Amino acid sequence: MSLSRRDFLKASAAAAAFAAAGAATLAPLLPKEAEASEAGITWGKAPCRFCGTGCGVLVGVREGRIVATKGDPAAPVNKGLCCVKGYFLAKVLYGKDRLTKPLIRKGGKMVEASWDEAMTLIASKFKESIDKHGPDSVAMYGSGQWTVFEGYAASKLFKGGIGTNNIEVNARLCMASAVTGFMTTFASDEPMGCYDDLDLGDTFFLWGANMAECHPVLFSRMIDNRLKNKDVRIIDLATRHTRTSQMADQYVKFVPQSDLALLNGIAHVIIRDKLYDETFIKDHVVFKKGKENIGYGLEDKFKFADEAKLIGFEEYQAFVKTYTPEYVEKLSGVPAATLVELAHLYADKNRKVVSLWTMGFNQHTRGTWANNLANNLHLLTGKICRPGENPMSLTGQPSACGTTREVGTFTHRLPADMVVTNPEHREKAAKIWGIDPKKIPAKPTYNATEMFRALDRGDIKVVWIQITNPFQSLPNLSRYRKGARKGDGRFIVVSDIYPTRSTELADVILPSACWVEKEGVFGNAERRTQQWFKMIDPPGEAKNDLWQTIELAKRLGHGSLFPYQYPEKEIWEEYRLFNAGQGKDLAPYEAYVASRGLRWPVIEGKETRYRYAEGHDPYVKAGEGIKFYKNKPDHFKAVVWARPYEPAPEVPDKAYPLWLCTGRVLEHWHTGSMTGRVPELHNAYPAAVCEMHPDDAKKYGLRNLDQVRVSSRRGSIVLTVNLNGRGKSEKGNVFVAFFDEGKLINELCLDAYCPISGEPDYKKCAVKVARV
Amino acid sequence: MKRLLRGLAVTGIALILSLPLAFLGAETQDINDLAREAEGAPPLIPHQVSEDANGEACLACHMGGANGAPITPHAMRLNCTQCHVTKAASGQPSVVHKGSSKKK
Repeated sequence: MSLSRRDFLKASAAAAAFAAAGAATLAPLLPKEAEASEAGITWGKAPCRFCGTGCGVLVGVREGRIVATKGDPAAPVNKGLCCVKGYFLAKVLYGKDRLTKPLIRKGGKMVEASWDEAMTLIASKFKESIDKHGPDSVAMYGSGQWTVFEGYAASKLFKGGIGTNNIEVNARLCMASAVTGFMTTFASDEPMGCYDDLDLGDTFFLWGANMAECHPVLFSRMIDNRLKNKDVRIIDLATRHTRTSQMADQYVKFVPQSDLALLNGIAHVIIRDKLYDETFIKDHVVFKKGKENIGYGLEDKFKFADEAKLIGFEEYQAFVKTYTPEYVEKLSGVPAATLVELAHLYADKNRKVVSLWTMGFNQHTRGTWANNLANNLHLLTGKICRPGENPMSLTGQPSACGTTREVGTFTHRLPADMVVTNPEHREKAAKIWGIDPKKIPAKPTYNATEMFRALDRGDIKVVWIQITNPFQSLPNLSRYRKGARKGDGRFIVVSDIYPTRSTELADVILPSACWVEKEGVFGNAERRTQQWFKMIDPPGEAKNDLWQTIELAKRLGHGSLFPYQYPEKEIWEEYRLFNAGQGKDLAPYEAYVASRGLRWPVIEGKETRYRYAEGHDPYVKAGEGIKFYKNKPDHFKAVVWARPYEPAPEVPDKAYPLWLCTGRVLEHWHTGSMTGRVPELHNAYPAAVCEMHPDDAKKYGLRNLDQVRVSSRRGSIVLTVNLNGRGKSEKGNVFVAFFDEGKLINELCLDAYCPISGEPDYKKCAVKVARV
Repeated sequence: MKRLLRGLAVTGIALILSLPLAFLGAETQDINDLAREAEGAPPLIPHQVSEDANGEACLACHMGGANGAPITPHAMRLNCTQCHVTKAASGQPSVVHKGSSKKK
């Protein structure tokens, strides 16, 4: 995009707006007409059901049915704008095959049953397995789409009632590396900045994040910023050319996995050219290194524990010396001069830098390291904890932050960043839950991948899956799909709203309420907690997952853990006790009812835009400047980690010569169970295709729209070749979206994971292609 | 005279709508008023669109109404395809998957 064209557009914008206003035939409905068409509609507010952006929407209900959704002009996140998925929220709940009755597998067929019959059966299976094999033979697999109440109830039941740490979530597959990145760098999860950084910054580095399609509303905020401020630069660092690349000011392509080298290379130049902020480093940074050659989690029951060693600034400088621009060019394909330019941009004292990333860094066998290295750049330059200058980890799901990370629905976690391994934390949780602290097991069991490996082996017998679709979304999928149906006491319960590739493997399917069919709270990527009320009834006999979990609790003899009259609000007030005084304070329930959400910590009704910063964060006293107050062991400083480049576990070779990357497209969200049922979204992008570079296509005798068989060592799939799509893969790479339930691309993916976070790498494995 | 006043009213509304709503205490505004102000569903794109077309390509017609294209009624945005999708996927075959459990 050349400057002159942009200026032209800017200059014409005002004229266009006026022209639009004056053109009577094209004007939006005049107030009177609008009123007539919206007669009888009751409006309510809710956060969008889809991604981690957390747009505010207005939901219009007439005669018990959603008839419209609009962007909420009063929502600070999106100010009335949505993406196409948000605009079609009204249709998401009304697919023809909505689940409305419990279904039990009998003789190979799914037979309708009453709730009582279904819950009796489920409870008996849980009891039987716990009696025979112990509490660690049962498990809960939940979701970053759980409301806070649902996640809290599940955690309380399993850890505090049944007495097992076998609770995991699909967020392990998306945000775990960001969590371990934050925890190891700052000793506290979640970003210190907020979306205001998109409006206030001027230099945006996007790392492996196709924001134009995957966080479109946030991308729009950046574009708006650039329209108003000609100094704004958007740099897209990626392994494929996307709509984001098109709209960016600069596209920097790199070889998969070499992000680790690039990040270190930028640090190298910052050190070499003395562009670091010496004072900031002295006051706020310690340096550490951990273990190297840490493995890939490919073996069942893989275990890893890092060992942190404090090093000095000199040793860190010696560490990054290896990552010369020339060496990094060899690994990444990024020209040395470009690397130097990017480093100077990062360090430019006149620029406010924001780094943005999602799955490119997180779904990575060195995902924790990638997160550390990204945070490093902001710490070395002191561009952190200031408006418009922060590393911003973007989130994929509506409540991966609010529920899974903040409530702590992982095997090792308790609410408010607490861990089961810490006896003081167990004591505190036990006190709030009113139980014997010995009930909560001290040892974590399995991360998500290991949990399904355990199911395959038979170490776990009973799994309850809520609001997620693992038998489409797990990597190396075939193993886990087969594992689920091995019999021998295995029993799978799936709570969902539509038939999916997971319900098809279930022994019991429970019809669930979705979104505004229940009361809920979500927490988005900028720490904004948002509440909504139930606006319509769920269809048929569907019930919300909170009710389902409490029902099981009662039938297992743990009803006393849930003595609530108004469960949602009472759970909120109980959960709040964990966060109080911990730098993650949440407000009383009414505050969220009354507002378009609040960013925690909320102290005396006031939200916090910037954590750790004096004048913004009430935990930082006058004169303290910046204080990473959760990191007491390191004297309230943040950690710059010396993390090396290490290769991916499986790289292209003679037999499998191409990289496979998987991801999303705009129109579909996750496994497409909701978006696929909206005709407009389905028609706009009906099927997954194989995106490849024209030179590769030619090499393998493929033309656009040909059928191609794509195979890895684990699975094989036939797709249509796509050479002219919105995304253009680089040479040596193919890209396939994972939303299509008829094309289970994850069967090809490798279930290698980051040893520190446990998050699998969906972006890199080796495939071959052949014309069909 | 009436038409002039109507035109001024419409322009006035358009101007007010373009103000950052924070200034008007949007969070406390009546929800029905907000719903009336809020933009409705973005129209589908009825014509073929090159898959790598960007906002500039769209605005070539839709900013000034060239070729009879409807003029964008909202403030200028460049990421058009984040809201406006095509009626049918361009450059893709309509594929029916065997064994798909999804009913529509």
